[in-house]
Amino acid sequence: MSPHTIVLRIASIVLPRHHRARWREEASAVLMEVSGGRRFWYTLDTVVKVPLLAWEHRRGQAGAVPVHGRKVSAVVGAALLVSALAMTADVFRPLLTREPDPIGIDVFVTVSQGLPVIRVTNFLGYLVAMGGLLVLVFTRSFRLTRRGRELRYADSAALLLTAFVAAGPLIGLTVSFALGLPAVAVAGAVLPGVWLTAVSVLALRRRAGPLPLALLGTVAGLALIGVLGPMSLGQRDPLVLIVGGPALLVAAPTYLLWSVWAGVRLLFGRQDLLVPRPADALVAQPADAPDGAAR
Amino acid sequence: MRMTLQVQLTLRALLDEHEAELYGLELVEATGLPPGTIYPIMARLEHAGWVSSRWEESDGEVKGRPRRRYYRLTADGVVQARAALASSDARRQARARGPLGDALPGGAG
Repeated sequence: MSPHTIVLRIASIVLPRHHRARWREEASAVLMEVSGGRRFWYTLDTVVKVPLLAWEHRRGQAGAVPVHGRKVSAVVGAALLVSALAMTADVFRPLLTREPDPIGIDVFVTVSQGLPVIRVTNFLGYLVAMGGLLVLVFTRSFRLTRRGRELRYADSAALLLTAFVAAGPLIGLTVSFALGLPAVAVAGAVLPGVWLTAVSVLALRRRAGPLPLALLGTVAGLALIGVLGPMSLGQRDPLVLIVGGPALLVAAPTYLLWSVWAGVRLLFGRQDLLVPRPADALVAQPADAPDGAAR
Repeated sequence: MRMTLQVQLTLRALLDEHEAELYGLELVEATGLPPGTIYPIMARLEHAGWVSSRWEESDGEVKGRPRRRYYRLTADGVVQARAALASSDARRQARARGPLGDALPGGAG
C-alpha cells in the first residue's frame, strides 16, 4: 500500500460512508499517473479539500428532501439540542446555584456567583426531551404521507407507541396509583428507553445514518430502561441502587451525546436517522466501487 | 447552480469535449484547477444532473492501476451549461462596461 493510498484512506473518513470507496479509487487513479512533487502537491490538495466534497455530498443529499421536510427536521433537531441543554443545565444547576430545586414549570436565567445559569425543572426537561423524540417520529410519518405512500402498519404503530412513550411514564404512574399495580408504572417508565432502542436498532438494520450514532442510541436506550424502570418502583427500592445507579452512569453521557449528535444532524437537514439511504447508494455503489479496488 | 469561476472553467472544458468523456487528470489539465477543487465541483454537477459519470471499463488488476472515473455532460447538462455560461458572460461584459455602460456615446464605457 503506497503512502498516498494510506493518506486517502484516512482522509476518506470525512466523507459519507457510501462515497468513500469511489473517492479513494478515483483520486488514486489521478495520483498514480503523476509523480514526484506533483503527486505530493495533488495528494495534499485532494486531502485538504475533502471536507468540501463531503459538504457537497451532504448538501446534495439534503437537497433531495423537500424544503418543508427540512424545516420540520430543523425544528426536531433544535428540540433535541434544547433537551440536551436542559438536561445538562439540570444536572449542573444545583452545583452552581446551591439552591433547592424549584417547584413547577420554571425556566429563567439567573446569575449566581457571576455565572449565567439556565434553570430548568425536571418536569420541563422531561417534556422537552420527550417532545423532541415525539416530533422525530412525526417527521418520519409526515414525510411518508407527503410522498403519497400509505402509512404502513409499522409506522402507525411507531407513531402510536411514541405518542404513548411521550406521556408513558406519567400515564403509567397515574394508572399504577389508581389500580395499585406497580408493574404498570414500570412499563410506562421504560417506554422512552424501549423507543430509543427500537429506533436505533431499526437504524442499524436499515443502515440509516452513521453506525456509531445508531450504536450510541442503542446503548443509551438500554441504559435508560435500566434507569427509569427501577426509579418508578420508588427511591428506596434496592433495584434503584443495584441497577439504576450503574445504568445512570451509562445513560447520562450516552443519551446526552446521542441527543446532541442527532440534534445537529437533523438541524442541518440530515434526515437519515430514520430514513434509509437511497436504494442506489445501497445497491449500486458497492458493485460500482469495490472498497478494495483503490490502491 | 452557483457559477463560480472554477465551475465555469470545468463546464467549458466539458463543453469543449462534450462528445467525449474526461477523467480527473484530464479535467485538471483542461481547467488548470487542482484535483481537490475538481471533485467537489463534479459532485455538485452530478447532484444537479448536469453531469453523469461511469467507471472505466477495464479490470484494474490487469492495468495495474485504479480505475478512472469518466465524466460527461448529460443532454440536459449541455443545454443548462451553455445557458449558464452565456448568462455569466453577459454579466461579466455588463460589469466590464461599467456603471454608465451603454449610456455613454457609442456605448463606450
